[in-house]
Amino acid sequence: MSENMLSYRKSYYLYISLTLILISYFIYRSQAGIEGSNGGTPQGYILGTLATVLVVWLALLGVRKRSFQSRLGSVKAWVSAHVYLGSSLIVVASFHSAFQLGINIHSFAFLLLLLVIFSGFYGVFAYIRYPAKIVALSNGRSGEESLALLNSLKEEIVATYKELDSELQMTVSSAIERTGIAGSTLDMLLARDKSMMCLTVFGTRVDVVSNRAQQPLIDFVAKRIPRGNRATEPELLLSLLNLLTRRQQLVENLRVSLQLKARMRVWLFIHTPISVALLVALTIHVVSVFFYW
Amino acid sequence: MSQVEHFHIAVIGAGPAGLSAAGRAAWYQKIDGEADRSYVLLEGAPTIANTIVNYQKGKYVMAEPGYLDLRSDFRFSANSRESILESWQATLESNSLNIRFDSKVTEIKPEDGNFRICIQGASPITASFVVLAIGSEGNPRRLGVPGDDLPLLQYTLADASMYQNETIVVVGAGDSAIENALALSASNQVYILNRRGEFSRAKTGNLDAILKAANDEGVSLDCYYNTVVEKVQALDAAESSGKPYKIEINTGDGQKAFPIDRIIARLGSVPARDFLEGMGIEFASDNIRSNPVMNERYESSVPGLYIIGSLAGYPLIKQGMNQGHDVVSFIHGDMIAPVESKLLEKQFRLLPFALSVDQVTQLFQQRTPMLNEMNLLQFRELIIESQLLVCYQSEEVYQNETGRAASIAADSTGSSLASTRIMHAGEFIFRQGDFSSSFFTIIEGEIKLTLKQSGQQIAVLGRGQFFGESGLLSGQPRNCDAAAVGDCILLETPRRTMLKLMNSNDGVADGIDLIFRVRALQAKIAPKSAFDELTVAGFNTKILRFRAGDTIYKPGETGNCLYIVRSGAVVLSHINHENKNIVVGQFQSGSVFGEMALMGDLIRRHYAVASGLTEVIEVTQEEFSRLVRSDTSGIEKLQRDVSAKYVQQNTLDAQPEVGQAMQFFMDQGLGEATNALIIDENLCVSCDYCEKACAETHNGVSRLNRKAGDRYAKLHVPVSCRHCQQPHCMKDCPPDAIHRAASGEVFIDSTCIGCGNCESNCPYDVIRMEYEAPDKPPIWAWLLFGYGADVGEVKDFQPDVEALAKGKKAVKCDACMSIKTGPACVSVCPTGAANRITPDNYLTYLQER
Repeated sequence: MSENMLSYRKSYYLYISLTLILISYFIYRSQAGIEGSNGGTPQGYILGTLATVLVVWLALLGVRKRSFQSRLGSVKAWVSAHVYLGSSLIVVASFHSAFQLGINIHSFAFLLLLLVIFSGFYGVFAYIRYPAKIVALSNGRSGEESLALLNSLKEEIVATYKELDSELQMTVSSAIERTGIAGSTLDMLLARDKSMMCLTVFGTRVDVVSNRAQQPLIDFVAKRIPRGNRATEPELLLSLLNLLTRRQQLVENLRVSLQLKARMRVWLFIHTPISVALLVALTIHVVSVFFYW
Repeated sequence: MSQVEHFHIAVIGAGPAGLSAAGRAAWYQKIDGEADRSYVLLEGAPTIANTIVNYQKGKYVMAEPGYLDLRSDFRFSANSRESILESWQATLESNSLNIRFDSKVTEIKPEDGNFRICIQGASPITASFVVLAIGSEGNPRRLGVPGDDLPLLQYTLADASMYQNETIVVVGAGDSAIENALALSASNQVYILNRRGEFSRAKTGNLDAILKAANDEGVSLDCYYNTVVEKVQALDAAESSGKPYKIEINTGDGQKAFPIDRIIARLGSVPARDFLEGMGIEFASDNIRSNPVMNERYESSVPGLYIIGSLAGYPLIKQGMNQGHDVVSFIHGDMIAPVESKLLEKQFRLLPFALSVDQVTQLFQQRTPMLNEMNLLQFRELIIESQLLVCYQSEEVYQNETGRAASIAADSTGSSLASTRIMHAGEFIFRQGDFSSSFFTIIEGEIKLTLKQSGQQIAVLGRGQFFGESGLLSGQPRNCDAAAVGDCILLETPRRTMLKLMNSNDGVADGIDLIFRVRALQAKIAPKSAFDELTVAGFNTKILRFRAGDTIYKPGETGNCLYIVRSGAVVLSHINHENKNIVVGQFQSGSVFGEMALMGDLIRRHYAVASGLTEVIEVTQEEFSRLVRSDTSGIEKLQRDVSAKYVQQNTLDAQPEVGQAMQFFMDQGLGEATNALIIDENLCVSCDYCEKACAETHNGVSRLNRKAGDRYAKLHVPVSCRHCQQPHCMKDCPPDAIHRAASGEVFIDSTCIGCGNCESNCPYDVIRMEYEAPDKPPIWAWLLFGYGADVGEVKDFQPDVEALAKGKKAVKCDACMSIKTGPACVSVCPTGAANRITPDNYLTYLQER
């Protein structure tokens, strides 16, 4: 199996993180005296400094991945370390806080930290799970090739329905024209299908109805097969049905892979801005604690 | 019968070389009218310098090689196409040169000590001397049907936008035909006529584009396959179609005729060689790339007939112009020293000889038996393009000479030519594993070749011998270390110069070839055999050449020989129990295969198929037995290797998915790669940082196209340079701007003239012609204020004025050779999906996935 960001170097950074957690634990447990465990004890300060250094270093990944001449190790190694050390922050920061939470800027910083870390967890999940899923959906085709295939299917469908009656032509062509794959970012994230098609009702009125997952269109064509007017029609309808089902498969696969791709991106729009907010909150937290002295 | 017009010199072809020759002839006529100084310049076209006229508008023409001075009555320096043509036109007019346009020479025949020159549509003339400067492109192949002399027919297309709303027929199936047809289809009705059933000669990109356009009803372009033109004729103005001509074609299904405005025939060209051979001019060899035989005064094997410019093998404008100048001087009896003499003088200054340039040249040639056959012109060129290495044993002399070299270097500014290099004796000239491909000739002293790991000595070579042929011919890294034993002088010749020489000189080609075989036998079979014995065996081996996909042997055949891969790669495969073709081994150049038949199992068990252009040395059972009988030292290793191969083959057989993935790699041409970018689709998150990193580390232009390229079993080979063993791109680079670094990277230097040869020669489409991208505002400006752009190439960037003036240059991957941490595309990949892999690691990579 390919080495991913978790298994990188046999999960070397996992052990580093576990060691870090262990050390933090001993530092935390060594707190004694009248105050007990607290962010303000010498041990608390050590843990706080450690956590701050970690946060700043974690944020520097954004710089590292844009420093193309950097000699500070590969981004792959950074990412693996980022994931494990970032996760260890939950424990280190908790020990620093000594589990004293309230409604104040300090706890707010902690909350932001957790948001960043958990959005990161989603990112790890997405980065590890989705690429293989997307490849499986694409059947070995590149995005462009899939679109080309979609286009050629469309051409074949057009060539086939041209020989059928106008009602059928109208419905099929409207369904193709109104097939929605991408749509807005939200549509992509939810894999929302806004496909529509025109349908003749009562022989004269034309309604625009939903064509979700292309199934209504397929059912419409299938319904026509045993009700053909001409002897040649069933054959044409059958090949049309075949083309439409192939197209359906392709459209649905494209929709899902777009959804997965969108998911692989979207978490960064949470992770990064909150990281910046965290840095600001952290600065306020650090500066403000000096006033307690 | 009227008197036939006679000239002392007839120059044929008004390109840069021909113009320069005529300019010099005019100069002689002006200063010295006493003797017969008459001349004529004949040009087949209505304008001068057609090749340059056909360049795209505003193209910036380079003046390589920079180290060479111009000697001509015409001026030339790097400038835009327009300025250069204008300046030449002005010189032509101000000197009132005797030029005749539209005078296509159809035949040149020796007659009564003169040459009789037949001109299309004019009376023949005679001349005492002929200077041929017609370029190497040859004449376009004509349609050869009734009406092909009508003005509707053209063989080039300078600017597609000149034609609007016309009906145009493009004839041809090559890239130029397709490109023209596509460009014209924007605002014309276009028909493309293909003699065959498919566009097999076209590049993939063009093929896809034409098929798409032909199937798209919105594009006014139609393809006719298996179709030939039968006749073209003019129509009356009163014709209802309003079109001036009519074409009759045969489509295979029958005849068809329709009115048209224009025909563009892109049928390739008739090689200039046929024309020259028709005149009795001899060529150095049958090799398609060989040049006409000439002496140092550019005189061909037909006395009185001179050849200059690209037809003579000198494709650069400046070289041709200098030759034009010199050749006329020679004809008039002025034996002037060529411009190159000055360069040689510079080059020889650091040699420990007190001899003149001519004497040194002569000495060199005497000491190198293999190069003795070359004429002075070729030999001089060889030395100029080579570097001299002088090695000294004594530290004192070494210090003195390096001091002298430094002071000479400080004095001579402007010369960019590689000059003499002073070295310590014992210092490595190259190391095992280096990718250098230059060729070394020993002028004086001795060289020791040793293995890097063990320090084991392979050979000691002396005066007149040569080494480095393996890197030259196989494109593989050096297979040993080389160092001078004592004081020593060497000539290091670059690969391109050597290949050109081998193409034009059979003696040199055969000599190098034999020594390659001898050393391969020594390395692979009988390391301790005597040189004489190996030479005899070498003579008895054969070189076999295969094209991609050719079968070398099949299962079931009785094997009676083994093979050593000289260049390219060979894939071993077999059909497994599930009836699937499984790759069980791949052999790069330098490896032995098929030896199993000589050691136990006589029957071939596999298919051996060439992957890419491949050359193998065939060693027969008889030769093999003779060699191993006289020297048993190599047999142990051969037997060990055979056992290891059996193990590997069976391991691969048990992992069919690996074998099939390997087949995919081979189908992608990775057999000839030295370093290929592979993306593991299980890991790729499509962040495009590989492409972005590429652009950021290469002046804003990415040399990698991640989305493109083929995929198989979650492996993706994106469009990116694989640094071929024998790079296709290097083949026809006029300024020799493409090099291979010692560490293997193939890169383009700043002398690129933007001709696009490498782009069209690359079978993997990894070279782009691009303007320089403008500088971007710093990244923080974008991060904080959204000013400028994120990292990566700015899509459709607008080049600035300076970049536009410089024109498009070829850009390609250099595997980030200047970056310590290696290729940026790999080091920046967040998930480790992108990797650069060498062929010896394909297997491990595929097995570990």
